[in-house]
Amino acid sequence: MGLVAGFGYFLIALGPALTIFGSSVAPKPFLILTVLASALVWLASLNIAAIVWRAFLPGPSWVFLLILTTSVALQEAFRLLYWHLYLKIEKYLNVLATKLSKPQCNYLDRLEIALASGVGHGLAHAVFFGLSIIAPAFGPATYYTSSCKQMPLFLVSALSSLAFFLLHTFSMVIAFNAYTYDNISQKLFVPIMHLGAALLTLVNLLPNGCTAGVPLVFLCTALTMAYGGKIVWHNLGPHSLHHGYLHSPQSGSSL
Amino acid sequence: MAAIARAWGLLLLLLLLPWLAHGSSIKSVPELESRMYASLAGFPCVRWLNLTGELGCANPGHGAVSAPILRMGDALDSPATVLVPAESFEEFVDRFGDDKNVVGVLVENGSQAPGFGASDDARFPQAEFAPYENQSWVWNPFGSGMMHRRLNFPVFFLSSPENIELARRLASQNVEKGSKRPANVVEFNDVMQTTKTGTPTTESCLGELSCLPLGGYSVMSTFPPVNVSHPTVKPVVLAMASVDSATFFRDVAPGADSPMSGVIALLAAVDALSHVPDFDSFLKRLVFLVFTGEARGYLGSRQFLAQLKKGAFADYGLTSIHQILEVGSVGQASEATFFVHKQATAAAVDTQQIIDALYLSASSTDSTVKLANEDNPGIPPSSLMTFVHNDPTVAGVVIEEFDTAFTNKYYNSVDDNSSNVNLPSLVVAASLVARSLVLLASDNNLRFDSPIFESIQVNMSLVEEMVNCFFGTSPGMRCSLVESLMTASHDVANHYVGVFQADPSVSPNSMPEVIDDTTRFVWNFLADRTALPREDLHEKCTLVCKNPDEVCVGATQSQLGQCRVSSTSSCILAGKMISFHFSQLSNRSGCHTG
Repeated sequence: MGLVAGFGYFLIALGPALTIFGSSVAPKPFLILTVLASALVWLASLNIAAIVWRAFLPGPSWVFLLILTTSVALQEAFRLLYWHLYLKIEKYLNVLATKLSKPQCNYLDRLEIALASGVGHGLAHAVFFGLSIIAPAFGPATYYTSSCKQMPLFLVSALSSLAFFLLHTFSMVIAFNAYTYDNISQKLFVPIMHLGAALLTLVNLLPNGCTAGVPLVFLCTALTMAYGGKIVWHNLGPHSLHHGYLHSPQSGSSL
Repeated sequence: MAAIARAWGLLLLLLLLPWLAHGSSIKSVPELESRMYASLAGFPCVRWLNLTGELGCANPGHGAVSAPILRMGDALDSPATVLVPAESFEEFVDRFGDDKNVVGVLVENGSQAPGFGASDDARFPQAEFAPYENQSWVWNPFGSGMMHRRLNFPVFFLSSPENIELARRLASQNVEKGSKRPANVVEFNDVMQTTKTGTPTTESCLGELSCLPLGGYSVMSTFPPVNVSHPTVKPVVLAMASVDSATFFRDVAPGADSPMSGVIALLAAVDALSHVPDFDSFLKRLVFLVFTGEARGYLGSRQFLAQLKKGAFADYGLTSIHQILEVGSVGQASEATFFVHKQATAAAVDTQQIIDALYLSASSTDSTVKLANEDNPGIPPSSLMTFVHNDPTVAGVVIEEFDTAFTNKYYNSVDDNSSNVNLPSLVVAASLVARSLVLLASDNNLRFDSPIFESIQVNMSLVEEMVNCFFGTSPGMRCSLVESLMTASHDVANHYVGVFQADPSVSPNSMPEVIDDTTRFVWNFLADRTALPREDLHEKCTLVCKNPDEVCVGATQSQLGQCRVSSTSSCILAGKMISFHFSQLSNRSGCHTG
């Protein structure tokens, strides 16, 4: 039973990740590299947050609010950094493309890279926060916390990992679009949603909180996915033919 | 979500429930894992095999079994581990022993009611070895015979109050929840089977090497020591006791009154005798024998006799036995009264000499010795039975604290511990034995008012120390008495005979881990007390001495031993349970000095 349960939780947490990876990322080697690079960048950000906060833990419960807020802020700062890093890379890619008489990066490429970066971010989150907790589930026993008698701890952890994976993946798409078109509301949407989802996980601490906390986080995820989908559809869908995906947007220009 | 269908436990590991989370946060994944599992240390009931089949407990298959834990009395309508108080265990087995829903049993240590069922052995222990017809005589009225039953599920004994408390709490939680998950589950991962299937008896399993034979080392010491190169031949008086006990739970066999009280009395007597001068001039030789394996088919005494008949002890001047004095259970005699048991067929004159020596010793030590009731069918279960089988006219007696039936309510029971013996009884028994042996050795040439006789004093503090060492838990076998002669491997002495895994040709003292602590202590003690008086310069040693007449005594982890002239040896007896066939084992036996 233990192995079945363990793999079950693993697939709950990372099933969609594997699917997205397999269908959208794997066919393009550059995107695989992007996933790796992104994951490393986000792992670095989490490490920095962890190093800083290790000194203050264990502590009282209100400390969680502080940890979450500062960690989210740090990650959003890294996102901005990542965007600038991406611009540099795109510039070099375009130079290389010109040399090889190949077409330059267009908007679709940018979005694909955004998706892959988001996958990297989500994977880093899942590994950091999800897999290590799910590991004991491969044994014969399970565990229920006192505040959540409805679901095992492992299920809550797996579902959270799933929600955050999807959240991070599509946040990056929205963010890239936001920075490309300098759209304030979109730029604010991502950090606010990220922070909101992070703070909603605190609901799990309340007695029977997991029955509300987990669905609420999924709500944030759903909103992010919907918004991201709307953006992509708007920019690349049939009504946007006049843009054409062959068009290479200049950084910072708004159309 | 079907993945979380069942909850399992580990080892005697219990699955943790929310209450154990204390509502506090978990700081790391290892801490999470530690909250999921708890280990319940217990003492197992193991699988035994004899000529006719299997006894004891085992898992039904070859894998670990696990089931949710319930208390006895809760509805047993699905597979469960049952927590049973010790007093009700027999009743439980009678009613539910064949119930398929009993996956395993945890027995709580309670104070056993000293009534019927308090003893795990049969009502006539080892009746098949009796040298008389009447095998339905009830020597052990408190016997339940539990240790001779065959159970098809694992049983563990929980002795510590914390474990019992934990088990009870988890069981009652399971009941409160009904059949809803998650459940607290116990897994027994002590799989106890022969390593090959289809070997349910000793013949088959030893032949297939799928089990281990019971066996150990008995200790023999002559007093005074013999010159091994040319031993003088004198009539031999054997003083013997046995050192092993057997209960339903293999590792909880303290055996305080039965049989260790006999060993303690014998050792204290040897200590008293060691101060008697000129023992060499006495007409008879004393040989002290401490057997092991007696509780499991008289392995020690039978092997000894077989070796004796083959002439294995000729080097010690031991070719035949003149008289035998066995010291049985002597730890709880009432009003210092002991009973002498003998077979009706015993040689009249020589046996009477032993009895007279006992009477004389009793009168000088303020105790009473009585002949056992004539209505008894013969001698009680004892090593003497082996000798009587061999020769019905052997002049031997057994001293016991009881007359027609055991007074020990906890014969072969987990409760036969130090509270079951008392010092006065042991000290008086030791005096009796010491003085009787002197009288016998001198062949009645010693007058009872001679100063030598009067000088035989039993060291009371020695007896008290031995009780604390053998039956205590701390320091247990790390007490100063034991530490002065050897370093024990375990703190607590358990008196189960053990399995024999060593190479019979290797001297056991070279591999101390092969012999159990109690036997090793007896060897060192006897070697020390029976050795010729200490001189100033003794060669130091760790294991062996160059002079064949000498043995290395008292080597511990912190000090070297000394080479002393002593004829003390440990003799191997390896046997099958309840088997009269020694041919397979005859080339595996022998005695080693040291």
